[in-house]
Amino acid sequence: MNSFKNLNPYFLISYFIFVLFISIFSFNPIYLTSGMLGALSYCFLILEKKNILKSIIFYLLIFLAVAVLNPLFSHNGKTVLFFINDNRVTLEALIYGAVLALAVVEVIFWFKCFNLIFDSEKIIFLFGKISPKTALVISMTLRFIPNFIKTFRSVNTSQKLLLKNHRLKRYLNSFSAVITQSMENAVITSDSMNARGYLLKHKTFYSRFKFTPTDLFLLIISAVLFILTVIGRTSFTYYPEFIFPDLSLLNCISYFSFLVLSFIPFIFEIKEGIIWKFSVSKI
Amino acid sequence: MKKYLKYVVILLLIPLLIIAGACFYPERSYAFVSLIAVLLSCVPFFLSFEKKNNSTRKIVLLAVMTALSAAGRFIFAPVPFFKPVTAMVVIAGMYFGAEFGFLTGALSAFISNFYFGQGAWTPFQMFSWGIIGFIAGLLSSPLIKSKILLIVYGALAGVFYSLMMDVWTVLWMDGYFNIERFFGAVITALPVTVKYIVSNIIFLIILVPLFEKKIERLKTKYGI
Amino acid sequence: MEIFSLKNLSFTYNASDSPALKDINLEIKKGEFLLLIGQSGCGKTTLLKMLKKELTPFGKSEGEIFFKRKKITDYNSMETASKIGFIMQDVESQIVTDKVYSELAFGLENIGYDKETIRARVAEFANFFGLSYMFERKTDSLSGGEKQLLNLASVMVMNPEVIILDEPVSMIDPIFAEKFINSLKKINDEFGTTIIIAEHHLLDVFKFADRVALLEDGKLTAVNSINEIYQSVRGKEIEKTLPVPVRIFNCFNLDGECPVTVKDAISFLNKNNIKSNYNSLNEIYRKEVILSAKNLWFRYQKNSRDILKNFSVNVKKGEIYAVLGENGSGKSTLLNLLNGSLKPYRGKIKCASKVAYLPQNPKNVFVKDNLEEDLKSINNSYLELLERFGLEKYVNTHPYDLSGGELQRAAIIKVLLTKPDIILLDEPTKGLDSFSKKELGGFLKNLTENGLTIILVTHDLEFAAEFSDRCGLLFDGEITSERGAKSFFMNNIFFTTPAAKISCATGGSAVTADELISELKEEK
Repeated sequence: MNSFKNLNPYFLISYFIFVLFISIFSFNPIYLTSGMLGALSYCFLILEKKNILKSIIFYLLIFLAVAVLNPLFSHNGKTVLFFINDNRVTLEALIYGAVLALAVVEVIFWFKCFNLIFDSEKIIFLFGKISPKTALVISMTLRFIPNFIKTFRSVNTSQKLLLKNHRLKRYLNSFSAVITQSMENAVITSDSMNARGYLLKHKTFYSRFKFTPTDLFLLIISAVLFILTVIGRTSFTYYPEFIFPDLSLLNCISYFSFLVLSFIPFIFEIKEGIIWKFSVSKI
Repeated sequence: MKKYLKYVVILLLIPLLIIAGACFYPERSYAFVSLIAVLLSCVPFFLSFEKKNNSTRKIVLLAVMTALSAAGRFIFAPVPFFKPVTAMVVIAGMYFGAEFGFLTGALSAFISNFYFGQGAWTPFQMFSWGIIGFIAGLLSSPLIKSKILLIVYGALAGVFYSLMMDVWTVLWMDGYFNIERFFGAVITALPVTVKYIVSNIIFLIILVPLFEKKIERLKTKYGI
Repeated sequence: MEIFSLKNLSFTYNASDSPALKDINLEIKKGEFLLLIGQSGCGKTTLLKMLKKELTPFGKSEGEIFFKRKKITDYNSMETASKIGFIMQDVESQIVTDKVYSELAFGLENIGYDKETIRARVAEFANFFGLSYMFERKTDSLSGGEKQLLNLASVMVMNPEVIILDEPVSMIDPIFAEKFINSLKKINDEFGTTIIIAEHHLLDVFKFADRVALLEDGKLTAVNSINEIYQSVRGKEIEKTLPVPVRIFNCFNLDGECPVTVKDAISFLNKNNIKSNYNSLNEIYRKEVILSAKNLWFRYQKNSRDILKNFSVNVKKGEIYAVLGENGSGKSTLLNLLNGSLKPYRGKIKCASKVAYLPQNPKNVFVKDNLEEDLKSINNSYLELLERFGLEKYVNTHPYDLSGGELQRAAIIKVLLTKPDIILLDEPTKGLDSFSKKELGGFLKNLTENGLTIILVTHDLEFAAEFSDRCGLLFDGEITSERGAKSFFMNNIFFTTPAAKISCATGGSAVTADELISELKEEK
């Protein structure tokens, strides 16, 4: 089950720009918490549970490290808790550290989702619209990489059996053999491209993606939610004093909008799951 | 008309994003502006690549160089911090021109992150490796002539890459350039930076003569 | 109407003094299936590349090439790119993009078709070639044969009027080679696409060819139907590379209709009442076991399928043991287990001797820029070996510049320097022409006479029949039938050489073409 992934890359990239924009720049613990929950909920649907728990423990450690270390680098703030080596450790710096840690981990989790969803094909599609040449180069590079690794393994194995060299020396020798072969084969590849008319002027770009009404619908919803989020006056002040932005109606709408925005992948996935079950039971 | 529309959209969209970010989240504007600026600086290179009529061989070579440096990240995975990416990018700039160097650097970062994971650091990585390749291209003839200069450049490239990553860490964490955290990051990253420098120098010393021969060979054999 | 007409065409490479092509006159008719044969180095590739404007090599050319009655140089690239398709020998490097569908679309994108047209065209051809199943796959995950079919399809989507193929199946396994040639025939029949192909050791190509052109040392010496071309090759070195039925016919010095298929050959022999002379098997049975594998089990990942299942084999000292089997049957994996770079999860390999290994691509054993420097890194006894095998003139050559056969021998010499007792070879005949194959086989025989043991995996049945001592068929993770080479091919009904099929039907015991010819000659 991974239907969110199959949506149009235009919608998907816009969605990620919206979410990451708020996540990286807002620095507001309320956004960050809802974003965190949204990303986690999606990960829980897609990934193996064991994997997620492992990474959560790992990121908790990162969280603690960032939060605790922050007062060492930041001595601003009014409320002094204690001194370490004549340096003030303030409550504000500690709170900032905690929010910072949350932001770091939240963005990491969103990128986890991003990497799950954006395979090379989607990136090539997006580039293809702006620069077909770059898209082609990316596609070619992705074709070469596994090829080169295979060649390297083969050269490395035969070197290992032939000579008792130090590993690093063997790696370097094998890597240079890969370089030589790849440069020679490049000539054949470019012949093959020319034979199929690469140098002709018109270069269109073919892809398998289609923009469906669902994509349009989701794009509009996400854009509206994003705008509603951004117009909130929700800036936190951390230094010198910790000031919580007031809970006006506008800000409440903003918080709520981002919560919904973060949960779109989760909601979509669940909805598709239900539709599937329903259609199966009808058969 | 439609052709230019996309460029206009890109050129308008990015400044708009900067303004929007600065207006709505003023306390994080530095991080925002820097990220966008870094992304923006990559755009002209890709646009001019798109427009220029490069030979097919050059396009294949760009893909080959990029794939070699990305594959190098895998191949040398068992040796921590010992990666040929910077050296490959420098070589790409030296032998195939500044623009080619930038593209190799930026694409190497971008494409290898498909395997190693994209993150908020991707644009900074693209920019850093891109610039390393670009400058290597500008300094092409002195770098080809002088081994010492090449070694110095390799070392500086290692320092530059490491510093750029630290700059991004600080900007992201504090939203402004917190000099204290910057020094903290630089000091903690020092052992890694040293390893970058050593690996860059080793790879350049080994790979540059290799490429010299390879390119000579291709010239005689295929008339490139 | 002729699609190509060559008038007094000559060509000299920039780096060379003697011309590669000399005064060639040839008319190729529209819809024709033309087969080009000749020894390697006779100028086949040069001639084919001259027909494709985008690939014309650097050098000096004289004479004219007309494509549909107009000089080829007068066409713009837009027309020639799509009208003339070209398939090369190197399967791997021809592929440009990472996904099958984008590879299929590549040519159409270049011409500038819109997305819908491309989609329709690509769908049509994926169906025609039976490639739909791999449409979304990565090009890297395809087998060699699938890759070459993809290359053909990516050229065909542009709807060319002529396809030029330079030894397209010499690097792929026989089953896909047959499929590939059949696809060509289908294209030729159903679209009237002209086919110009250089290839020699395939029965099928001869069966389908309307005419055969013989190129000797840059000169076109004969162009005729297969029924007549045999006279032009009679007694020449090239004759030995032709399919068995043609060779049988030729050894009787007859005129008339030349048999092309196995069926034709059998009925030809029956009609003329020629019987093979039954030679009793005289296979040498060696006793001393040098390597033994017992009950090996292997898989790549915990959850993947077993590649080897309870695999056992005993290899005797001084023999050439050939492991045969389909693509993906685990032949290469087996060699990697025997050389120690992979470990079985159950079972044991007993071997007290030194093992050397040669990967499928012989280029992969070389890491230096010239042969001498490379071999020196092992030890200094290389000169003697190079001289013994006639490669001493190449000491200063880049290994990649050697021809296929020379490269393979140089690679074997390199592993010989480590003084091994056993050599493992992975598809040693891949990409070699018949002449180089013979040379390689003789070279290997020579090595075993000096006490070396050779284990090779291959799908080249004729090579195994001619040069190996024992053969085993790897199927479903184990060796299913193992016999002396001769009885192996005589006992098999389907999985055997054409010569064995013909010989068997006429009461003989030959398994290779040479044996069959000599059997028949004796009878005569």
